[in-house]
Amino acid sequence: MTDHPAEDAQAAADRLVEALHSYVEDGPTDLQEPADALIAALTGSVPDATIAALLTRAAALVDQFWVQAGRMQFGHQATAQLLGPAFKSLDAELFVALHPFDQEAELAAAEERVTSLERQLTQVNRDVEDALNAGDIDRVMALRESARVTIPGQLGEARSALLALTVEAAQFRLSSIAPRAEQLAAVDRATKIRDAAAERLRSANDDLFQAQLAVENSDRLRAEAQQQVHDLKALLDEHAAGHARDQQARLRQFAGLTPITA
Amino acid sequence: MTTDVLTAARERIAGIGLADDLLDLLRHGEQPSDPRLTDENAPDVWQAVARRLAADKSGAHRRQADRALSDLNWRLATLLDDVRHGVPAADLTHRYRRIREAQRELTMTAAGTTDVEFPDLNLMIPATRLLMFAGVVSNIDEVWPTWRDCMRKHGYDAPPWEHPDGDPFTVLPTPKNLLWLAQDPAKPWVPTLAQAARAVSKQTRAEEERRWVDSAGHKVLLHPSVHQEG
Repeated sequence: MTDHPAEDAQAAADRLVEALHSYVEDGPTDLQEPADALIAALTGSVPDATIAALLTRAAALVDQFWVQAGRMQFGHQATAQLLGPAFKSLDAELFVALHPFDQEAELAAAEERVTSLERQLTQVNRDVEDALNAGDIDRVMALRESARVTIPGQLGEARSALLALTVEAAQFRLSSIAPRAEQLAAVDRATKIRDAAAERLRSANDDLFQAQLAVENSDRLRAEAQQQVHDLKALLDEHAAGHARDQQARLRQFAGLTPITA
Repeated sequence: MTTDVLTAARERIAGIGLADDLLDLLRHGEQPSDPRLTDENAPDVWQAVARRLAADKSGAHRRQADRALSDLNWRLATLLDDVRHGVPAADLTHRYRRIREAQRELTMTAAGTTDVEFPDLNLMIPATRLLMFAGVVSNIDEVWPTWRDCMRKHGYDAPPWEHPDGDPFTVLPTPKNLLWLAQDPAKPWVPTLAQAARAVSKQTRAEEERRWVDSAGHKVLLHPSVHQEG
């Protein structure tokens, strides 16, 4: 593995995602280098198993691309669009890895305590039932306090502690997300760019329509004019032929000859 | 120090680059050899190559898949050599299973959407069927003579390998089967489509020859349920 200087983890994650986009949209590109950069950026702050899961997700995305490409026989770009959900999943996993909750160990311990107390409560209730069935009143009385008060009380406290840590984790995630105002401003900027582009497109479509209309009109006028020329020529030919016949008749009449009948 | 799980994940990313490079070699008509290709990773890498070939519209995927299958054949021979030299078969079943999975994917990619043709038999069959009786060993007639009776739903002897219930043609990737494959008379292989088709043609013609009986000067075709000795 090559050595990488310490790199901002977010930048390393962005580079890997960008490399994956480039791979599926433009064709095979090197993924090893951005993967190694991500490993270097996260090692020490994120468990190896988490980093491994990220790389496995990235590799699975490429695999999914090739499976789709073979199955669908679309081009690169069209196949890449099918991977939108896969990229979203990877983004979500990267976000969680890059924004670890600083009380993750306490959260896991709290979950384990709740699970353990639930098991204890189930067991003591089973023991009470067995004692009742055996008619062992002394044992029932000895277990009663644990089953009805002690363990349920501990379980309630443990669940409260778990819930409190879960709320803290959720608030941590919330605070890790970029401020909504910034994101709204980015949406606003992108919307303006899109609207300006849409307006230019609409204007260009209008120009195109007008130009096409002009071509159609001139085609129609040209056709009409050609027809008129054709008709006039026919009329002229007919007139010339008629005049020739009439002149012939006049000459014959003048010469005292009988007119020619058609 | 990098843990095993991280090393494995990193190798998976490395496998992507290796598959891309091997595909490039195949497309240029070069022999697909690369020092990064090992007995351990070859099945996974070739399976990845098969998926890339399936997306290839150039039509050269069959020829290119054949080269990959040839490499897998060599990897299988190496694996069975290890079995013969005492490596526990149980340690090799995973790799064997991966070889057969990569073989299947490469073969289906090579076949595409067409059946495999046997011009001398006037027959065409799907590649999946060809793999059933010519994809594991090249001499199924020798190791399991009644396999055709099984196809025809007549009485048949059980095959000499462990198989799932109701599916006698599947050679499970078990230690016992690896030991069987590593010994005579089995001739295990990873064939190209053409090699598998030739083997089936040859065995089918030989089987037809066996079924003609010279009886009182007449040749009679035996019913397939009658076994001819010798």
